[in-house]
Amino acid sequence: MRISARLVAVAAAVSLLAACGNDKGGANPVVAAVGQMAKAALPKGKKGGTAPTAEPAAPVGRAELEAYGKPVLRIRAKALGQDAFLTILDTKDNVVTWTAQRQANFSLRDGVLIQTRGVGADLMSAQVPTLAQLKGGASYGRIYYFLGADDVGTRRTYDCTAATVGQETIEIVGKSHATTHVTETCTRPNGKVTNDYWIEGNMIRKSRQWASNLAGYLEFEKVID
Amino acid sequence: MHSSSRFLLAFLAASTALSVAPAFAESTGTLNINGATGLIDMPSGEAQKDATFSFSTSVVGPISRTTLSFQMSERLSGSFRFQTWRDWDTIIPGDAKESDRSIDLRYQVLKEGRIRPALTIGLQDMTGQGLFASEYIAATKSFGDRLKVTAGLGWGRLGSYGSIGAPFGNRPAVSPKGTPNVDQWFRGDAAPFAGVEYRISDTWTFKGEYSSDAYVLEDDTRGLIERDSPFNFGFEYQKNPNMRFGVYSLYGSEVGLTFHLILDPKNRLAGGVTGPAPAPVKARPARSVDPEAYDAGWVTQPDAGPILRKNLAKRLAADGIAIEDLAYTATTVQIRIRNGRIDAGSQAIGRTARALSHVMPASVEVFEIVPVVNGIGASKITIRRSDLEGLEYSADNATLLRQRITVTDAGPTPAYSLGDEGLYPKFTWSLRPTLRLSEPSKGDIGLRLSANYDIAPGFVLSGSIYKQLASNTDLGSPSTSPLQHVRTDGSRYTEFGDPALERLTLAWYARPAPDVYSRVTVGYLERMHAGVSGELLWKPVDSQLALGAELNYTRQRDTDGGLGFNEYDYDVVTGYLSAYYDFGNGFLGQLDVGKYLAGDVGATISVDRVFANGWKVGAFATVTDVSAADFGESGFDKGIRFTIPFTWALGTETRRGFSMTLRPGSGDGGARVDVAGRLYESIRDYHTDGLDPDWGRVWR
Repeated sequence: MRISARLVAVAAAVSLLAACGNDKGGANPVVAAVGQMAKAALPKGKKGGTAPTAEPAAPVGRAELEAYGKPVLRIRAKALGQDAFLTILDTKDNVVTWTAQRQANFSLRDGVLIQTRGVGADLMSAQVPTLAQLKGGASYGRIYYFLGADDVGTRRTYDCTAATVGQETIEIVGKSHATTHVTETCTRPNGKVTNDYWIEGNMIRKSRQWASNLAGYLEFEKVID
Repeated sequence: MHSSSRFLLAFLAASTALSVAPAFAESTGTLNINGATGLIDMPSGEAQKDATFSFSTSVVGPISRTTLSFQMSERLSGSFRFQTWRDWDTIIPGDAKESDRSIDLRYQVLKEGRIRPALTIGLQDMTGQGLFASEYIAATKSFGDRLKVTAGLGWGRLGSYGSIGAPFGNRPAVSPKGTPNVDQWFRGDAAPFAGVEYRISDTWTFKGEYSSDAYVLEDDTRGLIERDSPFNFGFEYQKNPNMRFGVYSLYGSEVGLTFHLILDPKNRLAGGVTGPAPAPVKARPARSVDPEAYDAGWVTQPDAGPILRKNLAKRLAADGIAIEDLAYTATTVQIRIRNGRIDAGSQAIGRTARALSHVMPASVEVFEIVPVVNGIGASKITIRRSDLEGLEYSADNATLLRQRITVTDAGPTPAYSLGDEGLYPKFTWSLRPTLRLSEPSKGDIGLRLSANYDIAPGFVLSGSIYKQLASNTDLGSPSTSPLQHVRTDGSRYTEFGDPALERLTLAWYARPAPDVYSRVTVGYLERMHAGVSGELLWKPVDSQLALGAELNYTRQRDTDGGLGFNEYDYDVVTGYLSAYYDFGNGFLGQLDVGKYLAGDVGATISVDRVFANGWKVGAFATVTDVSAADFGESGFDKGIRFTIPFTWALGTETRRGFSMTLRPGSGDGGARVDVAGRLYESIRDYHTDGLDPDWGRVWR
């Protein structure tokens, strides 16, 4: 017993020595694990504490963001402890893919989340409502396609109804927006998802949308158009 | 099997990554001090969640038990146990320590219903010399969500206290050892046992039981412990799904401590597939808008190839993918890739397709991606570029894309391809800390220096040297096997060969015909044997069945880890015909028939459960014409093996993993030369049965 305890101790010590060589068949898992943690943190993000309201993304004001001269989307993910500003990586028709420095991507179709990449249990694709359906209080089916924890693709099908809650004025990084608050209620035999959208004219200005079990709800705010 | 110190790290990571692991599902059985589902020392009628893989260790006075258990299916589970008794010479002079390895199997006959209890029938230490042998039927019923009551009837050890007689006759002595002890099962005295499990809070559980094990061996015969009472009780603590601790009062005299590491292969500890997001697919302009973009004139430009290749290489390097070959026409591109890092073939293919969409001129509509393993093409995935563009943001894009691609034989490398650019010849080396375990707490730690020289596609010169740094192994008593000591001198190789040249081989991999793969390996194949090994494999890309043939001529190496053959004057021709079958749902079967290293003739059957994320747990058994007595204590060669991918535990992007093979006993019968790079394993990842389980990752 004593000998095996020593063996384990030495094993732990030895394993802390980084492997060396020019064989790039995968980095040293230890070193890489640390790197991964650093990378997983979205840029400018801060680890959200247990406080219900996430900390502000950064002491960045509207003027600075505007000076950047490009559209900016703010994302807050409580379950992931992330708060960050995203920029556009790709636009195809009505789908815009926003990125956190190419480590994590979020694709939205007219502001409705259809894909995530790089947040762990990713939302691989989704069948989602159109903006018109959300505004018109429609009923429709919604399907989420995930990569499960076992790496196998799975799907969840919901019956959804959109309903207008009312007119709300919201503030995003120092600017007021007059919006219509629409809530989308989705149910299936053993689960329920509620997504919220604040729609300004023909654009979703702000939303709180469910992404996956692990990522939970993501909050998006269109800061700069 | 290669082992590594990273295994420990995986476990350490397990304890730190718990905050992201999903909460545990509905109530399943808990484990007992023997690592099987049950109370404290007694079994219960419950089972673990499907695929649960647990590692349990417990100490009861001078007795320690270390057990690996696997829930093979919802109802069937198995355990593999190492048991040690210290102070073995308290009464009877002799060795101060006795150790034993045992195998259990249990099957849940009934699942719990509203009124019906869960019912399990089990065989404990079913093939050993009988030191821990028991059979039982156990029923468990839960009342509310906190209380569970278990009652059962046991035979063997579990029938040794408070017996009610021998309903099925007397229990004969075990003979021969090592084979299933069918004659003993459910024979001899039977005795009832019972117990309760009460969940006090989310983290604490109380357990109490009445044990029907008299501990005759430990108390009466050997005087190791005093068994004063049949009652055991204690508390267990589990804060997260992966670790459980227990402390008990046992038999009125002993304190028992136990620790369980509980892993769910279906749930990545690191919480889903990690690694950076992919680049979006680059859309081509519509042909009607920009017809000039589709002009095929670029093909005639002499520098087009090198430029395209360079741009692709730059994009793919970020994902650890190297280009073996690139060939193109105005409409089709074939890229041959070597995937060095991404654990899923489908994801490597998806990343390659995305890179092609960025680099290839618009006139190229067909992407042919050939994953190359050991210099030979494993398969060819053909994707239409417009499908890639059209489906990127579609709902259920993985299924839709799968329907539109084809997976076919890789075929030969196109004659007009742009070959390697620094891939051949190429020298790579690494020096890595390594853990070699012969059993869970026995082994050595050292450094392995490995080198690889890729001479030309398919030709690899490779070798490794191992040097121990610390070890708790010893020479042990010399092997008394009447057969050639092809394996039982293993401890001599470990002790005398330090440092040792483990391998030094030249391997040639080729594709002699469609669906056929070949390998020839010459040199120091493994630490005990050297020679020539040849293999042929027939495996169509979409076939569940594969057939193989292997022929080896080997000489036994000296134990000093050097180049010589003076110690043993032994050479042998071995060979096998193999059939591999993918039963679906992750179950792979393999049957090998042939002649083994000690000159014995027989067959090996093995079954592995393979998970999409790379986890693998399996069992094997070899029966040859060697008698059970000649083989040794364990009768015939059998064991379990498992592979845990590092990426599952740590979330890092690597194809490497920790593998281990455990046997209840060693012998010289049924042994095969351990040559690296056997064909089936290396190419299966890129055939449909390897690609499809996690095909969804093509878009990751």
